[in-house]
Amino acid sequence: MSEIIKKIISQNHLDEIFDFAKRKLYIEGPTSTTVLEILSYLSIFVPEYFECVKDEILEVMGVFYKKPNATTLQSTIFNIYGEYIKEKYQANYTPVQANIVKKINEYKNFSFSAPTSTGKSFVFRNIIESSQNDIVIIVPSRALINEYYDRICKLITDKTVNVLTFVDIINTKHLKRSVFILTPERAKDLFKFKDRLNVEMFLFDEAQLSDEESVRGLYFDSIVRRVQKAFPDSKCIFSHPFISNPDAQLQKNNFDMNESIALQYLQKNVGQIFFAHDGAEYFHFGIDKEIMGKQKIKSKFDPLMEAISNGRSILIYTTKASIYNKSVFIKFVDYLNACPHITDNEALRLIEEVNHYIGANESYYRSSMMEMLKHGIVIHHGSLPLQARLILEHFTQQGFCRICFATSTLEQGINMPFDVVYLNTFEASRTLSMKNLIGRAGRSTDALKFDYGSVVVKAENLSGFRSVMLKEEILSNVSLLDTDEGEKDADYKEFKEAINNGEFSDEFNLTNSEVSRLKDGNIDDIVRNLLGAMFANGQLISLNVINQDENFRLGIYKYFVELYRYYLNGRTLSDGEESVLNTAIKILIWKVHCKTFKDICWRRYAFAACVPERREYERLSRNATSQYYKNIYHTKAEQLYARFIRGYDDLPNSNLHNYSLYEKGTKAKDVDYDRIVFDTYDYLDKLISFKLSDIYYAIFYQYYEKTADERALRLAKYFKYGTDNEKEILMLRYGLSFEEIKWIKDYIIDISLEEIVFGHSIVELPQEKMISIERFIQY
Amino acid sequence: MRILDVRKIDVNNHNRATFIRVEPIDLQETLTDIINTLSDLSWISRFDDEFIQEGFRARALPTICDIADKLTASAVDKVSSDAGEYVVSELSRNAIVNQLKYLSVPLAELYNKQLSGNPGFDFHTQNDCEILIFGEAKYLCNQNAYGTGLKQVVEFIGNEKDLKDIPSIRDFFSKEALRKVIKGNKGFAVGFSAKSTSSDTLIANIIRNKDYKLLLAYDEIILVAVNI
Repeated sequence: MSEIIKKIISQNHLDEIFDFAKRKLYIEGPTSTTVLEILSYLSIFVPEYFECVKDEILEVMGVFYKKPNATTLQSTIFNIYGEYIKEKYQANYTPVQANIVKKINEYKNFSFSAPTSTGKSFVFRNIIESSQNDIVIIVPSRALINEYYDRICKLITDKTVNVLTFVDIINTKHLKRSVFILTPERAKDLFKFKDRLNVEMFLFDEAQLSDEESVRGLYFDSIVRRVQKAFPDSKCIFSHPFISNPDAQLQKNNFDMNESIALQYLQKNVGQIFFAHDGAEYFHFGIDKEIMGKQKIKSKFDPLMEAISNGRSILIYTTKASIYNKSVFIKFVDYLNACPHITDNEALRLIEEVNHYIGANESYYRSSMMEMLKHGIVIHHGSLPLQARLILEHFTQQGFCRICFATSTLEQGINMPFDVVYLNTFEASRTLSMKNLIGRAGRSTDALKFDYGSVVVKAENLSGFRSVMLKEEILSNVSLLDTDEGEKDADYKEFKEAINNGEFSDEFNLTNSEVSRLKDGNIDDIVRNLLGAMFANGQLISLNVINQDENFRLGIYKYFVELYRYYLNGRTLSDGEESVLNTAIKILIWKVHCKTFKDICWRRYAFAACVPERREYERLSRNATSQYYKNIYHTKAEQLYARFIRGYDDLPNSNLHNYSLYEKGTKAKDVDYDRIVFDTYDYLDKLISFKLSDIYYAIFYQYYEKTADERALRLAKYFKYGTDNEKEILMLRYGLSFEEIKWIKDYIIDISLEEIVFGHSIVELPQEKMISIERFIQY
Repeated sequence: MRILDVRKIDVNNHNRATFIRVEPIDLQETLTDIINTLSDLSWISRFDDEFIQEGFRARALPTICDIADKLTASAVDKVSSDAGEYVVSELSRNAIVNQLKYLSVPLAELYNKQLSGNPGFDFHTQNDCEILIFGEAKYLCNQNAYGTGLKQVVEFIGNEKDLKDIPSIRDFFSKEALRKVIKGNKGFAVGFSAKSTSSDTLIANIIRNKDYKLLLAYDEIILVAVNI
């Protein structure tokens, strides 16, 4: 068999080609990229031919959820197998899905890998639903927490089951069991509750995090090890994509191999075809040159345009820089232009929801992201606020997205399949990530058809792409916790040492030595002065007071900087570090004063883009007595320069310089609202939530323990929860967001760890607002 | 399988043209053997051996009975028709191996070998003169299928399917037999489903068939009528 693409396109040797693919499929299963490529090509180029054999192929692939009809003796054998699975597991599982369930039932610990789109999430959801005890799901990112949370809440409507994204025991009056969806960092709180939990299963999804050479990778392994000790009777399930040696996960964390098993599943449910793009034209090529053809073949159609015109979706994988400087939109402008304005009411509702969250409008706060979204064009990256990301994921899953520009944030797990994946950037060294992305091409549907997706690479990356597709992914079988890694930064080393020596504080999420530095006696004066500045008459001072006196404001920032220096062992902060920290504190203070995300974005944008000044010039222009003066005022508004605004950077970094988010010379009118949205989210998420809150919480809480100063406790709570209001804190513990708290709190008569008691007026709430509280309403 | 007839035919034109007629003694048993062979070959047999060992045999039985009934009643659907072709192929192969004492290459082994190649003929054997015989099976529910079978063989020869088969089947046959194929010395067998037509009539019709006449140029011709 050779030159198969050419032969199929020219409709030659079809019987021979089909017979070849069918036999391989029958004996080896749907594991060969090449066989699935062949079947995809047959389904595209000779649809009438393929229609006659489709049922047989689907049956032999084992995609029983499509309910194919057996048309041959061979497919009858698979049909019998499908019936057996259905009877045994009460579900139309594929052989792989059934096998996952079987291994989970048979073994205490199970580590496996499977390609994207094998439907493991569906299996997990069924297991979670039918479980009788607590379940803990550990995922690498908060984006994945959100996705799981969303799906599990829809799945489990039983009000005696808590579905929580933090470890807590709430709603105790009604509670029978809990499902926790956690990052490794949040999982640490499990150990505090270990005597009150009856965990049936720990499910570590995307467990390749274990190999990540970062604090998070170390933390992951430490959690796995602690789980084994604290919950010796619980099952541990590890799921990975594409890893060749899932047994490594069990070895590196010293599981008893007598009660454990590891398996690599290679079976896929969807086919893929591949295109190379030289900038002007598209070419077909296959992964196995010997079989599919050595020469790439010019495509008669543009796969992107074809997808858009048929209502399919495209993922364009690109860099964040190309999204920020908009170069990627210029490159793909013809495709963007081909996306029609969205008219579907549900899609428009979702768009409005995103807009409401980020606060864009048609006048000064214009968002190009929102403009594009109205045409079904989605932007997805790690600096997009999580709430907006979740809405956009719904938007995409419901089929409203035509083109999604995404960065590596999309690599892991998030369930957003596309019909076409275009790799605008290609990182050959990150093979697992690339495979995960490539795996996004092709949606698995319930329809009685052969599902396939298309992957497009730039022509210059063609051979690198083939190498990625053929390379094996190996997980290390020795934990980074047990490895001498040589050159690593001091923070990493300190963290690793603390984890290995049990010197890590679960309470404060810091190493014990950091915790002890943050209660140093010398710190007390600074804390006292800060508290004196932040509170007046026992109340938090207002924003007005802070804003009216710049020196006062700078004084407050200085105290926070001084406290941060203790965390850094007394080191002086670089200009850049201090500027980033000051901005973070400013944002934090706004947040404490109940400013919503969009309020904070507006404030920052108004400052950077000189909105009040531009408004005033425009007003003067409108009221001017002659056209000449109108033009002058208008020109003045147009010529204003953007103000210096420090963008987010990671801390600490002693080499950090101070520079503006926008290039020098940027006009105020050209300040991009979207950039402010992304940057504000980075501050809130990556710096304040992820780093600063632990540090400042430890400082203020320990000070409170020493002095019983209630003001310190209140500040500590602000850092931990974003509020010191007990009712609000309880509502947060019930999983409500600040945005939700704003409108829900008036409906709540009483709230405690036992239950939430709602007023009768709750029935007035519209259905979409009921979603987040329905679980806690006892009719 | 019961042998009903074995005879040389068309002796004036060919010295190795044979007609064999068989009928299955127990169609269910034949189908069971075929299904078991096929299931052992399938990827699920390795993926879930427990199912094949414990669940499959019993679950397959109603399907086998149903197919057997349909084949007997000539009321076939797509699956039964496909099964009919397997039955014809397997019984033809067995008949040749048992009656003529030719080399036996089991279906399972052949299927595995053909996986990486370019599958063409349904079964293969080798005679006592080291001539490789390429076999094709045809099942039709409502008529004798020798015409379709002969036509298919001639088409395959035209497409050089016999030569293309060689890489995947070479391990089963002697070097001499393979050499002879290259030189053009080879034989062909056609297994076909037969109705109630008498063997004499069948033979008379076969000898008149234009595709059959084209096969006279080769070293051996075997026609196996399977009553089904």
